[in-house]
Amino acid sequence: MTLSTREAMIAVVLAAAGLAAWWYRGGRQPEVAPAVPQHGRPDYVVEQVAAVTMSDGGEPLRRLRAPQLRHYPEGGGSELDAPVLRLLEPGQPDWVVRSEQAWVSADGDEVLLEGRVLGERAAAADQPPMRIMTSQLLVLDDAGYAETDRFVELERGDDWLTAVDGMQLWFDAPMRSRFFGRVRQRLAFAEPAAAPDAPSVPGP
Amino acid sequence: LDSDSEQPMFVEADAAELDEKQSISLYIGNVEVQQGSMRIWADEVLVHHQPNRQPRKIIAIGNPVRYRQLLEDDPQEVRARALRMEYEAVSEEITLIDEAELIQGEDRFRSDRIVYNRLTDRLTAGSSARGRERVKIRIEPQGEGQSGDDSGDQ
Repeated sequence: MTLSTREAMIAVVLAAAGLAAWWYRGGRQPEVAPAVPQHGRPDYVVEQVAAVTMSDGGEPLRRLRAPQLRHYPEGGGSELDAPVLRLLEPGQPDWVVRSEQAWVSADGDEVLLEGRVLGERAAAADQPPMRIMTSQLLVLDDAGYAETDRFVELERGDDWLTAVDGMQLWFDAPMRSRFFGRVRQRLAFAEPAAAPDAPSVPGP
Repeated sequence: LDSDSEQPMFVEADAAELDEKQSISLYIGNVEVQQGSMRIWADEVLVHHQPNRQPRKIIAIGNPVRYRQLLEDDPQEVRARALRMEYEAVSEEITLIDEAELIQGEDRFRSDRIVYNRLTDRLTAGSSARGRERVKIRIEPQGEGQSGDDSGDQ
C-alpha cells in the first residue's frame, strides 16, 4: 500500500537524520522561561560588572560585562544593563552576545537577554563568520544551548536564514539548530572566502 | 539551465533542523526549493552537505514531489513527479522513485524508477534504471497534433 511505503520512507529519512518522527508531529515551540520578576527593590547595585564563570578545571567558560547590575532579593536574580556575554569554547571562535538588557537567574545558569539581541562569532579556518539577531534569547550556558520563540535571523558568510517562530540552538561545536516556521533560507554556492586571520569580535 | 547550479539555492519550509555533525539539513512541511530555474515542491527535504557546506545530495519526499527546470537549448521545461526524488548535485543526476513520471515537451515517461541526468540530458527508466515496472512511453511524432490526453500537472 503506497501510503505505508511512504510512511516507511519518511521513517527512514527521519532515522537517517537522527530525528524521531515525534519531533515534527510534536515539534514543540520553545517556551522561553523564566518569568522575569516585575522588579521589587534591588538590595544592591554593582557598577562596571566583569564576571568570569570557570569550568571545574578552572578554565574560563563565560565572561559577562555590564555597566550596571541590580540584584533583587525576591528570587535572587540580577538585572543587567547593556550586557556583553562572551561564551568561550576551546578551539572555536568565541560567541559574543549583546543586548539592551539581561536577567541572570539566582544560580547563574540562565541568562535571558532582551532587546536587540545580537550574537556574533568570528570566522574560523573552515567556517565563515556568523551572526544571530532576535529580540529575546534565553542562554543556558552549561548546556551550550540557547532558544527563542521570537523572529530570528541568522547570517553565515553569504548564507542567511530567517524563522518566524523562533529557534533552538545547541551552540557548542558541532552546532545543531532547529528553526520554526515559516523558515526561509539562502544557500550561496560561491566558495567561502578564505577566513582572514580571524579578527576576534570586539568585546570585553 | 547550465547556470542553475551556480545560482544560490533558496529553501522555504514550516520547520528546519541543521546538524553540523551529520552535515545535513532537514526541512519539513510545505517545502519549496529553488535554484535558478529549478524548482522542487515536497513535504520533506533532506540535504546532505559537502565539507564546504554546499549540497551534495538532496532527498525529497512528497505526495507527490514535483520538480521543474528549464533546459539550455529547449524552450520546453522538464517536469517530473514521484513519491521520492533523489538529486546528486555533483553528477547532476535526478532519480525519481515510485509513481515516477517525467514530461519533456510532449514526451512523457512513466515507471516506478526514472533516472535523468541533467548534464547529458540522458534518461533511463524501468528495469534499466533498476526499476521493476515496465516503462510507459508516449512520444509525440514531430509536428503532429497536440496531445489530447490530460497533461496531469500544474
